Amino acid sequence: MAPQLGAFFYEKCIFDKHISPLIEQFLPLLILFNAYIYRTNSNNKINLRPMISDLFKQLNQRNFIRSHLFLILLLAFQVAAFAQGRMVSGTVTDASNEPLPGVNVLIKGTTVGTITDINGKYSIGVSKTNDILVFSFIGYNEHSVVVDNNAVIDVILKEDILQLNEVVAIGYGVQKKKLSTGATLNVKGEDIQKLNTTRPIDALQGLSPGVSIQQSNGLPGSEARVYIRGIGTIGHAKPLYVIDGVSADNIDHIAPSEIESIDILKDAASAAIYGSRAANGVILVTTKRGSKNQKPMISYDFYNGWQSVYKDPGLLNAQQYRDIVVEANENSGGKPLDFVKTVPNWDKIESGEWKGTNWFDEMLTDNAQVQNHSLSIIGGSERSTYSMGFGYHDEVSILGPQGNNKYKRLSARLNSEHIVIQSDGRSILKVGENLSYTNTKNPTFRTGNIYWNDLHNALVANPFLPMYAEDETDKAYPYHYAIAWNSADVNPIALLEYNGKYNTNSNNSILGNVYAELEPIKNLKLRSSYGITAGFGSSRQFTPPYELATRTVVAQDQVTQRMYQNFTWTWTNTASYSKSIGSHNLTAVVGNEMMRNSVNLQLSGKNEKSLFGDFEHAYLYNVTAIDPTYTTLSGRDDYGESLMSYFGRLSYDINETYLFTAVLRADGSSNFDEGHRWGTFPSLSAGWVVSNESFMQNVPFINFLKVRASWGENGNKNIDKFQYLSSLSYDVAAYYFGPDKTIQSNGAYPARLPNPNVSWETSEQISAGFDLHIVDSRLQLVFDWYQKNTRDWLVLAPALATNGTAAPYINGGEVRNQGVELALNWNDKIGDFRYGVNATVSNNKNEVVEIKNDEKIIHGPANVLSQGTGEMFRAQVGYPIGYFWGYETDGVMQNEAEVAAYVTPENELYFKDQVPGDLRFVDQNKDGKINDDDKVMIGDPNPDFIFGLQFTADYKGFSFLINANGKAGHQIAKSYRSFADSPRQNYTKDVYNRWHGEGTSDRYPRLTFKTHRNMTNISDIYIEDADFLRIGNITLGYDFKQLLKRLPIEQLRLYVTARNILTLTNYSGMDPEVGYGPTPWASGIDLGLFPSSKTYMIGVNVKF
Amino acid sequence: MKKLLYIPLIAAAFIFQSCGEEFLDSKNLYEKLDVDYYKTPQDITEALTAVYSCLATDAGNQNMTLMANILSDDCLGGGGQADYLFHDLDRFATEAGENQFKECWETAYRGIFRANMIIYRFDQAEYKDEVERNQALGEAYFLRAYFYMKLGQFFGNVPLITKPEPVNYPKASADEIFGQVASDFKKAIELMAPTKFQNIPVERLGHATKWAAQGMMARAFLFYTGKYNKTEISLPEGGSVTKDQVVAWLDDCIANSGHGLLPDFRNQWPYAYAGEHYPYAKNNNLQWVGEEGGNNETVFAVKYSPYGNFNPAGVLSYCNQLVLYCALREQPSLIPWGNGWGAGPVNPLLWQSFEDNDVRKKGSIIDITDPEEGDVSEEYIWGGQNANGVEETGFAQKKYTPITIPHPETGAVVSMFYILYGGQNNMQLWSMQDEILLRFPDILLMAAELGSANAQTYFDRVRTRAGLASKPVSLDAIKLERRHELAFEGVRWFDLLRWHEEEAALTAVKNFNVKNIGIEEPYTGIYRSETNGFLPIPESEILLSEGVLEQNPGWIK
Repeated sequence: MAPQLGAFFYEKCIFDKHISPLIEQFLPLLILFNAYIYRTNSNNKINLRPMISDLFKQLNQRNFIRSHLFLILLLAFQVAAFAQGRMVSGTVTDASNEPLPGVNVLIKGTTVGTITDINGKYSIGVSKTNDILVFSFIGYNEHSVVVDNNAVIDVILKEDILQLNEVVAIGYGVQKKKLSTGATLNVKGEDIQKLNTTRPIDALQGLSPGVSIQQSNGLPGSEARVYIRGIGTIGHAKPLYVIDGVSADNIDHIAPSEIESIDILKDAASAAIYGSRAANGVILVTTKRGSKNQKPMISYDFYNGWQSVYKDPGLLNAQQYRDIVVEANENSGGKPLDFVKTVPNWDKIESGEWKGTNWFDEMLTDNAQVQNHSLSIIGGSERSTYSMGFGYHDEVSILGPQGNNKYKRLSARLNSEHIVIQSDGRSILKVGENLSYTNTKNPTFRTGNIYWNDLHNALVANPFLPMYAEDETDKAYPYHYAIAWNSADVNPIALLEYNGKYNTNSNNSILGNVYAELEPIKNLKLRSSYGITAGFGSSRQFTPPYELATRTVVAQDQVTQRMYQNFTWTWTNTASYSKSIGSHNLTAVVGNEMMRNSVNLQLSGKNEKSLFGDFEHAYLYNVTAIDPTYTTLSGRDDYGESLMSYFGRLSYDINETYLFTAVLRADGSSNFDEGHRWGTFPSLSAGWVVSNESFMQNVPFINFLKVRASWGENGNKNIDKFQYLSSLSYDVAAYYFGPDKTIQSNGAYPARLPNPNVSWETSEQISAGFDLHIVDSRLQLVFDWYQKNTRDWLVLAPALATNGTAAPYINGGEVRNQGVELALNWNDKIGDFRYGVNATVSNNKNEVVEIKNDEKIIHGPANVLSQGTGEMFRAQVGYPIGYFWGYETDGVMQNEAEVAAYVTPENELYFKDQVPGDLRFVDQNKDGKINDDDKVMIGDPNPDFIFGLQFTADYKGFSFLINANGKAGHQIAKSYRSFADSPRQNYTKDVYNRWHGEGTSDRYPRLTFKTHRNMTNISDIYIEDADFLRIGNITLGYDFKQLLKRLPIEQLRLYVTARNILTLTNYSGMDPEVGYGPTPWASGIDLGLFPSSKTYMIGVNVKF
Repeated sequence: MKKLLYIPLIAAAFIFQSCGEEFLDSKNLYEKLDVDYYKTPQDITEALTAVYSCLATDAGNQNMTLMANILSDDCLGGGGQADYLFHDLDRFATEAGENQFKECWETAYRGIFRANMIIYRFDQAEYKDEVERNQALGEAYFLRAYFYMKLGQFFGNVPLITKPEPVNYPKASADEIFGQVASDFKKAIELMAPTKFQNIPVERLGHATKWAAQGMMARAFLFYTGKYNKTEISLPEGGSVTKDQVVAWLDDCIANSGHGLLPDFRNQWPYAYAGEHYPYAKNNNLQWVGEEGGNNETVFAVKYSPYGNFNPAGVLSYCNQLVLYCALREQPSLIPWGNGWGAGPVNPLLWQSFEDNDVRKKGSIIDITDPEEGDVSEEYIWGGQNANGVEETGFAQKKYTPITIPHPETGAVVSMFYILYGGQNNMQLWSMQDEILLRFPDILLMAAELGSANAQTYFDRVRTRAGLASKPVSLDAIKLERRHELAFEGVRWFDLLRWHEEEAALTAVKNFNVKNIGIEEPYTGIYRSETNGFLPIPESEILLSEGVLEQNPGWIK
């Protein structure tokens, strides 16, 4: 217990004011721990029951010392004897007569048990003829046999196809799946692991209806965007992740092989137990743990893969590019372009001898390797279970600076649980821990807006620019300087290398908890858990001096070092009790939780003119001259965030047929002012297992039918801190009085208009659905309908600029997400051929219902697709969040007659200079002007449908899997170049779809060299439908154990996998999955997004 | 069942550790609280500094001097093809959106809010020195008046807010706005001490002075009385500011401020520093007077620094973006002219309007064909290297343009300010020239225009310094003199408005060709008289005001 207690001492608040009740709480545990030590050492069996009973009596009298002494005395004298009788043995097999190793065999009501060996055989000592042997094994129905006078008992276990007795995590507890009344989803670790994704969350794509999982970009190590039941706010819209009871920002750092199961709480009623953090749903991760009396099982998995880019963007080569710019220039009436004077070695391009530089190819790493090792040991004795895991993942990014483009993840995990005190087959006190450590290193690659995107740089750089300097021996500048043809065009490879190659980072995270669970009387469980999430890391960068263009000059080398540290602790205490009285079953949980983010340290320093001038020595220690104009230092530690909560859940059922659950959580958060801190989040849900009714017994084809309905409210507390205070800021308020321009005077001003009333965002959801199992439970169907209203958005709503300072957060917006979800699961077996089909589809409609300002709009930024283009997405009442806003076009004017016909209601030309090849913008309000009033919704990045399909089959050691997922009904805004202001950027082959004469295109306008409204106006020509179906995974494996049965191992499976090999889509870009948006609530904007890779891999699973 | 009794007991003992509300209290470690502030002279100094920082805008294209130049007949739009804001200013259009002038609006109101805070809380400040106290309060009044004057000049009628509270007011009348401006400038004049420029410690360069307040008062007076055909400004507290009083203030300034004219007009502009690297400067033996206290001609200026940057947002305002934006667009290294965005190409008719012997002709304008202007006459690339520049006339202003010369140590061609003060070796960040908002000749000419007894003397001082002979002072003569002396200093447009000459001036800009991305095309000036010469109020403000604010005439959709 000592470390657990010790950890609290970090918090002075707790230490000072709360240590004595704390000791009071833990004393019983200490006492019982002593008892355990006593018993272990003396090998005695003791009866703890009277002891416990007395302990509580003492507790009642609050006389702990006495009780402690009393107990120790008690333990010293009391010895229990244990009788053993005759032996029973047998073999356990499955329906096809294959022996089942590892089956638990237990004498009912005792802790006496054993497990079957590799041949399915067991033997166990029994004392009475009416002893009952219980055989249990994961995935099989439990089977009980009365011993009677038999000496041999052979058992055939039937597979549990329904898996209804399975328990699933529901937050602060578990519940039988069949009793669940909410909309939750359980995905098993093995299903995640077999998809071999880098991020575990990606494996849920297509398996989880109602959950949108989208890569932000394909760069290994980047975070996925996950929305449960639609995007609910323009603020923090991420779900809450809880790993073994400890909340985390994401689950990307967990190796998939370490996951036992993932449970997703989608409806408000299920999530309500997490209160103010659950407005966007909850994802619970349970990591692997051993089971009782399980011999150590060692698994080793390894795969090696080769990745390549799925789709080439199709950049023009030098000759194609020349033809296009010549055409564009002529269309704008420019004088002939002087290639000879501005392009080096023009004759070689002219003659076709040199095709120019393909910058995308130059950035690409062919056959980028991905490698993964994971090793785990799981086991358990009668009283202890453990699970250890070690993982190593090493992935070369397909795009990036050569030599420094790897994502690496090293993870280690230890979970164990020990029954400290056990009596009558019941554990009285359990202690355990879940601990994981991860170290990651991320590759350097900029994936952002048009000015901060290495791939975009490669797409727009002109092919005339050679990669290397003519004189390659010039060590200082081996890369070619910008050429006169386009002096702004910087060598993108050089930029990537200089800024990304000399960089290293190391990020560590520790996540885990230690807990104790006391069950003083049967079914009353008191649990206390102390969890931590800690992160620390550092990075270091060296930028050599370089000169690549007039505006791209780093005159002095630069050294940057950064480090950070953060620490959050969570202390959770729960009491749960379950009781059955006749057909009435009741389970109650009450609990309290405190969470505190107490360290958030960040330090960084940057300096120029290093002593050594290389990466190896790039430490600030080696850069000593301090000059305020190029030395920057910063360090801060945010005053943390605290959360304090009380919660309870009551589940009640009658005969497992009529099910009710009520949840209430009260959260207090330090993000708000006193008086606005506490929020209460209630929920109610009910279910009816119709198939248990007698009238259903005559409906043989329905094996199981449950209907469910729920209502609940959750909160979202994530806002910038101190919004309720009027405080002074020193940011961007300096001035430079006096004769020396380097002397800065700092200014201060009231940072914002305070809003003391700022409080929770609330999401209210009603949800209903049913679970249906038919055709001998081979077909399982889950259907859900929901309506989720997220109101009181925490928004920085635009306020009058005349206020003179920043607007505060207000509770001022509401969005409605409404949808249906359907999951179908078919499992069957024909002889030895076993197969399954899993199909999911969900639909969601997102609509902003309210924004509390007169404009009813929250604007997106301008200059997104290109400098010089206007706002293109917004959140607006009546429309989906982040919809694309622009002009509708009505084709291209093909000839002079059509030009003459594109006129205003007053019969005047819309534009004096309109010519064939120009777009017809639709004058929506028929006022004769094409302006903002004519802009409409031209696209929606939020998918209407998310779907997935998975087929698995096994036959005599062979296994096959194919998995597909997709989205439909959404659009992407795409621009791989800045059409509005950069005539000399390169094009992709899409340009061949342009209008260049009558009948050549009715969608894309003629090219122009001058800025032209055809392209500066954001219109539907930038928007494309992005429906897609992606074959995510095809795996074929064979278990050689089938051939080599004598091998002293349990499994030796070899497999080959192809990942992302086919994407069916009409979208013309590299990848239809585009998570990028310049604001957190925008998405679907493709400026050349790092595409996901196509991977072929081979792997092996070995189990001992 | 007896055991069941333990449940509540155990639950209570084990679970409910109460830690009270203090667990949920948190402290802001990085910001001071407003209730504890505005109490010491140091607080007020910091608060004033934050008002001064609003004189510069983060978005270089909304620098008020630049905008006023483009609005006037001195400059065209220019810049790159996608620099719509310049083209819209030049054509009185809102092609690029109805919020495009929001930043200058917002920056001015930010300054007003911060000044209001100081004025509103000033009573709680404890000063030992009465002179220091009056100076600080005077500066707060000066700055508030300056921002309202600029808003009144650019947008016409605007909401008048004099308390630091979020309010939604309709537009005030010009009488109310300029009444407040005059009242604030008057308080500033009366509060601040009459310390001669030479006696003010150089550390205070950049602070407003009594003299600056007198000059700005005249500017406000001329604008208001001219534009709105008035003879005096009525003050909100009663009384008025009359022409005689303004003349008296100007006479006082001219006689007692210590400000004056530099012997050579050209020595106050940075190109004078280029010396041996710049034939024109070399041939005329120019010596830059610098910005460290030696220039008594500057009465009030925006101060810049080497600390401009792209991050965090807003810090670009620390460097002089007027210079970056007005510089020749994307040229190869043309010593001494640095690179920039090519905004506001000079109207060739302005060049022609100068007498050839006026030193201010070549002293204010680069003629790219003139060999004396350095490399530019041979190596200038029309449209810039990116072939993207528009409305080029072959003339550019040289008062505010980056001067780049070889570094004395490394030989690399860098900004003269980078050589002098260091900072970032980045052409977008290395301009830190003072942006002069009020220059002494302006004071002389305003005094002459308002009918000072010394009108002829004042007028001749300006002409003589320019190398020109005396001529009889008249309004027409003063008009031309102002245009030539103060070209590109953001003054001309408001002169035109107050003389009601804006339409005639702009429509006269025609009959010459410009080059758009290198292609020669005719240019004609555009003015829409229905706008009264004012810009549109940002549309988002109209919407957010829920209809309380009305859009300006000529800009209603």
